[in-house]
Amino acid sequence: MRRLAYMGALVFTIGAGALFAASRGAFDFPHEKHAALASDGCETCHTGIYSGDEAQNVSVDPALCAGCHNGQAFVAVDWQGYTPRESGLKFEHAAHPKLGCKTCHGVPDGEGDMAVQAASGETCLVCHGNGATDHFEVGVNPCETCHYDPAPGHTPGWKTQHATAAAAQLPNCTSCHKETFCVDCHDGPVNPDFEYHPANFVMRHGAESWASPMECSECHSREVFCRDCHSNQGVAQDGRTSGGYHDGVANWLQQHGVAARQGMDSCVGCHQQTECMACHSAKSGWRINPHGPDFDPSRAEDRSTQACAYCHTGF
Amino acid sequence: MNVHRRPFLSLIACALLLLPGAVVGQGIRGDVTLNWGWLQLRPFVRDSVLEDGVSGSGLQRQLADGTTVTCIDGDFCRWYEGNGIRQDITPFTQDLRFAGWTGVQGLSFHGQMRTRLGSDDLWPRTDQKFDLMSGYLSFNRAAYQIKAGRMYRASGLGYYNFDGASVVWRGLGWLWLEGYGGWSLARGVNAPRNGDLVTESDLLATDRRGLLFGGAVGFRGGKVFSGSATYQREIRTDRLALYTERAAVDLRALVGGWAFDGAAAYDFAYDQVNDARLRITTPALAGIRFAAQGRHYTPFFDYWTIWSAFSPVGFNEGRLSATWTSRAIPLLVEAGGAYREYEDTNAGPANTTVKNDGWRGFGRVYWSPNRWYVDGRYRAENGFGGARYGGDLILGRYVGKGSVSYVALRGSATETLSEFRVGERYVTGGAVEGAYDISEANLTLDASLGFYRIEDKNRSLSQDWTEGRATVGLRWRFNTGGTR
Repeated sequence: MRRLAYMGALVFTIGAGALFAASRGAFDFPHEKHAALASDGCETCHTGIYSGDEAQNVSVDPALCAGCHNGQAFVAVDWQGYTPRESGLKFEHAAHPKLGCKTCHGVPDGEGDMAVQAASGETCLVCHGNGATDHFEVGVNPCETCHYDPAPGHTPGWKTQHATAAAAQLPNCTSCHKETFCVDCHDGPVNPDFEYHPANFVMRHGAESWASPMECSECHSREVFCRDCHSNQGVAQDGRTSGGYHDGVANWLQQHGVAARQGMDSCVGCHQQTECMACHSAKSGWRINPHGPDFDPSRAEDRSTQACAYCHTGF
Repeated sequence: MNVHRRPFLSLIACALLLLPGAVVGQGIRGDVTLNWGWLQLRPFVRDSVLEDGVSGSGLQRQLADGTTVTCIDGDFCRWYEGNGIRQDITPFTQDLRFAGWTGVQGLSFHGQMRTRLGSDDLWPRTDQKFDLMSGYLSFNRAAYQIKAGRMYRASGLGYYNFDGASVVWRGLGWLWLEGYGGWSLARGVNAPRNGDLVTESDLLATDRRGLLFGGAVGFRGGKVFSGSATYQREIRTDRLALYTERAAVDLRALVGGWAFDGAAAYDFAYDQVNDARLRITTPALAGIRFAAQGRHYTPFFDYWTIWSAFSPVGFNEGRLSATWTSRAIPLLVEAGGAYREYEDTNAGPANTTVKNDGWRGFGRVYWSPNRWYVDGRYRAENGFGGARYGGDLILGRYVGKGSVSYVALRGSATETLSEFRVGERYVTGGAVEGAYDISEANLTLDASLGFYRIEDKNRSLSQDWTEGRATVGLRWRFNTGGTR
């Protein structure tokens, strides 16, 4: 029931948060009503759209509107110009002169040149997305082709905090990123950018292995990766339980249970199961029960009697 | 050692069959990456003296020089120390990855493989000479995608690799369904669960491969909501037991600059929520984005191990961070911290000295005026078992176009406290780093050389020493053209 409550709280909080937040602005200029003005195409009003004149290339000059909407010929309007919202995109109209306006701004099935709407990211991905040539595949700094840092939706700390987003909207990720992009960090040959792990992490990882800021085993096999290095460096258990390493805490033997339950992830980096079973087994040794008060043997037994049989007879 | 070449060879065979024709849209692109490293290590060794030769009583005593030792009556007193002998490690990896388009619309092949050479047994996984990380065929259309071969799958359960197939259907646009299955591979190893790599690491390692099955459903509510739920189980091939059975739910909402991320992963055998997170990120307020996160974490262990039966406990953590990115000048400032408390372990004496909480702090300043950059990072990690305080300061200059080519000087300092061992370690040093991109040749070179002074405090037998480190990397990109 407690787990269900967690899940329910999660759904409720995210839903309430989303409803609370403000909605985004719309692209609401009635282009169709002004079709007669566009004798020379979009550049009639959007002067400089292809020349790269940043002052003019998106917003229409308010003076142009006021020429007709002066309160006499037509109703006066209070148009002060358009301020583009910060999209995080590097897009420049001048860099895309061959596309034509309707390629990105055309309303699907819309009639006439004035059936336009704001461009969407999906339109960009037709050319720039995963699978398209040249841009996103294996280029130099592929993200920077289109995005300032960070890309849309890539919230601060993204490199270490993207797990939920990646799972929730996986199809979105693959619009831009190939699978190998993920592998670069999750199973890459080198430590990328020193954000996931700080530089020289091999000398610094001890405290973080106890703290589990991330799940180490997602990328590193505790049994293979951790023990491999620890045993070669002389800090792995080698079958003896006579101590000598955990000498920083008095009466370690009596206190190790607390450390083990809090940091089992880290213990497994050195210790094999048989070493713990030397004392914690119902078959031999000191027969010390390692199970906590919430342990439900029936659930575990239903799924793996094999593990039960390591320490208990009758399986 | 297991070398699994069959999927790879099948893939190459398909590629060769499909590549020679001059069909429009055919092409292959990818890269080859070589990484060579050199570093020095000074392994630990265990030393001992007869218990009779050590004064005092009890389990832990001190030698005349102050070294703490662990003694057993009538036996030896033992301790660990660096043996003073440096060992040079020179791992060398070669990666090849590629994506090829066959000329048949939607049909492509993908591969990523690695060879590891040098420093056998002294650097993790250099005993795994060849590693096929992924290699699959993909048939991708607007409404569905079918993949077959060796592939990764990322979900709320983490990152799993398997040999098999997956089918994704997304015909409604807002809804997607996925089913996948095949022979599972040990996480982080890319090798079967009963392969030598795993069995040599644990006396109780499983002797059977695993079959992995899973399904997921996801939705997308415009640009606002998205979410997915995943169920996955792994079964021994002899059907006698499960290796894993888990489910996860992940939700995201992006509205008006706010981001809400929530996730939970559940372990059926031990009735535990392994990882539950709720993270809220604000829009930029005066240029600053704030993030707050609550997290519960309990480690998950495969069912072939006894670790979950030892009732590991989780912790609850709160984390706050703030990031300021200036658009006026190239400056980024980031700072944050987290505090965690562990659940009751129901173990050990009442007056245990093992802490049940921890905290961390971090900060970063990145400033890049006129192609120069200064990048300072600091991290503090304080918890039970160990603590670390330290950071890096980098002064660099970008060379040429973009930010790929650069040359930099790095200074580094770290203090490490190992709570379960006696002593503190200080590491200070620096390095020269650089990279250069030769875009005409599709080549990027990188290299670094550094030296770090290592000083152990309160361990009288330890000798201070200087560790050398170097890396050389080369990446060559190829692209014969082609489209999806």
